Amino acid sequence: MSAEPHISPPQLEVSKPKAHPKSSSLWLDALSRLVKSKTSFIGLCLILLLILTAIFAPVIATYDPTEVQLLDRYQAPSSEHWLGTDELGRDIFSRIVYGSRISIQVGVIAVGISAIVGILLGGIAGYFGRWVDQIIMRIIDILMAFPSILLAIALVAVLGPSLTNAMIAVGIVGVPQFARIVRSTVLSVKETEYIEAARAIGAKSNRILFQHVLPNCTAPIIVQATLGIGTAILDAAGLSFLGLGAQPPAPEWGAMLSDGRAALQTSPWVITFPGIAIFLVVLAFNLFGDGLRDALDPRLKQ
Amino acid sequence: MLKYIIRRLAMLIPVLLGVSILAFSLMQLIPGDPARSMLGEKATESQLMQLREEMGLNDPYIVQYGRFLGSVLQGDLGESIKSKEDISVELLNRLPATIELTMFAMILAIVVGILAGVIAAVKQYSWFDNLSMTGALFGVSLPIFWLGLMMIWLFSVKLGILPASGRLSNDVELNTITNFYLLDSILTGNWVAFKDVFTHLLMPGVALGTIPMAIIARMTRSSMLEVMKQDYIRTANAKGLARHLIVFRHALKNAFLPVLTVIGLQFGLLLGGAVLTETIFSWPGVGRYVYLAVLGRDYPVVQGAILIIAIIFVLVNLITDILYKYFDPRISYN
Repeated sequence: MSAEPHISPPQLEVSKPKAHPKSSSLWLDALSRLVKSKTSFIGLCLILLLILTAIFAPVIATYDPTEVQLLDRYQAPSSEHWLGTDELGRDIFSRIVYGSRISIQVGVIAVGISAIVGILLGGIAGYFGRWVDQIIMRIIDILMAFPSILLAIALVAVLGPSLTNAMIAVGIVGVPQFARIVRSTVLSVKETEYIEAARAIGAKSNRILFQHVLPNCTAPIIVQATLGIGTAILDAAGLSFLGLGAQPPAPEWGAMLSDGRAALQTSPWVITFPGIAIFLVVLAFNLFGDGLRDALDPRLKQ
Repeated sequence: MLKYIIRRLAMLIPVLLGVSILAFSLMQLIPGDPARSMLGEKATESQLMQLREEMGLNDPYIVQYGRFLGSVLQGDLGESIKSKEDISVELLNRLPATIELTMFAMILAIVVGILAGVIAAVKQYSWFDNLSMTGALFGVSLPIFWLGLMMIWLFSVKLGILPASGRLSNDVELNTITNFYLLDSILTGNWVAFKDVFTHLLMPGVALGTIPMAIIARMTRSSMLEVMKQDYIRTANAKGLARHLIVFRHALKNAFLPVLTVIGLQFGLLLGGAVLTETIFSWPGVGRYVYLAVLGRDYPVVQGAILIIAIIFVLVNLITDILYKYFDPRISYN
């Protein structure tokens, strides 16, 4: 190739993209950038590990996570109980393994709530504009005036403490993020020519919004969802730590930390390992989410 | 500038009204009968009727809201169901503790975060950059309640060098003037108390400040990298200006704006995180007050506290916007 003249004949220019048809896809491009990033690969591996742990929990766990063995209370980590036992003699390793199911559930459902409500609100506000936009965005402003974890605490306080209500509360406080991202993307997409074309051939508003506008918001939504799962798991663990989320004897990681507080002086392993589990899972989603953002929008990469 | 501030204050009114509606509406979400939910299963019908009457629960929603707003505007947040104490007074007593803790955490986060971010950007891809950015990534993923517990275990239980709870040791005397203990100890020249208050602040401050510190460090680094690429920095380099002057006078000044936005937003995180941190460290502030009220189903306290915290957060954001304009007069908000 180096022997070729600087000004190539036109047909050569045209044949080039054909030689690499894959590079024309946003998603394949993003994927290739994503695999190259070491940190997002670590994140992805940790997420896969979490999912596998949740699926095969009964196989991996060495004990029943809720089985009480009062004679084995506060056992230090050993070959029998790998991560020790808690105040009721329950095996901490098995509880953490089963807790992965709760974490995935919390992360996915809470973010699902945020995403569905946020996409609808943001999409409608951005697409219809004017007073619809004004009303929806003022509501979003008001939601954002409350520190998110505090609003979640207040919501669970009135709804009643339970894992379901904790997921709803964490889901609600995550709505503004999605609504704002989707609105701003919709605002830029709706000015494009193909939307004008769709309108010109007489497509109805809801068809344009759902078929043509929203699919273009997929990339930022996926990034926000990935990062949001980490935050949701962290917030929900905080609620459970305060006794507002998962109720005993559920092996929820935040609740396990709360149970272990009483024995902090004598049995630190009770609080050490559930905390590491929360940390690793949140880290995984942050790493992978950061990687996705860089991969889908190379302009942002530093 | 004054015009701008006045306009911004006027724009606050609808937001604050909305905040009050939301805080008020929270009570309407209580499933079933709020009176029964507050008094418990053992309450008799006459007790329930008395509470409904006292709280005006029999009136229409809009009348209840009007009454609520009227009292809030007069600084009256009602009284606690459990202790019958005046909620406004209780909140005022506890606010200094929370503000002292959040300010301490914020200053820690700003100083360490900006410094780490600047050094990481100036020495991009160095060991310091890698180390501090890995640390920042870990920092945003840490559950602060776990970090707090692990610090208590290490520094209080194992090493015994830091107190695990409270604001002041029992055997230390301090004459309170402002209820900001650090300030009070300076004002009264009481250095024994100053040292004691400081050691009490250290662990909760670090626990609360970790996430903002990590976020500020990452933001400062990326913002600095952006600015350092610009022509005027190259010019400053070319004319032989000292490195530290370029970095701190020329670059950081322009790189600071996005960081300022992040700092404003992080205050919300701190005020929310205070509930978890104060619970762990038995810090006698608003956060712990909210936590105890939630456990005791003392709804008016929860309502009053989140209303006050939201108002503080809204005001902090206003101050951030005003500072933003001050730092960058090019920005107009028409």
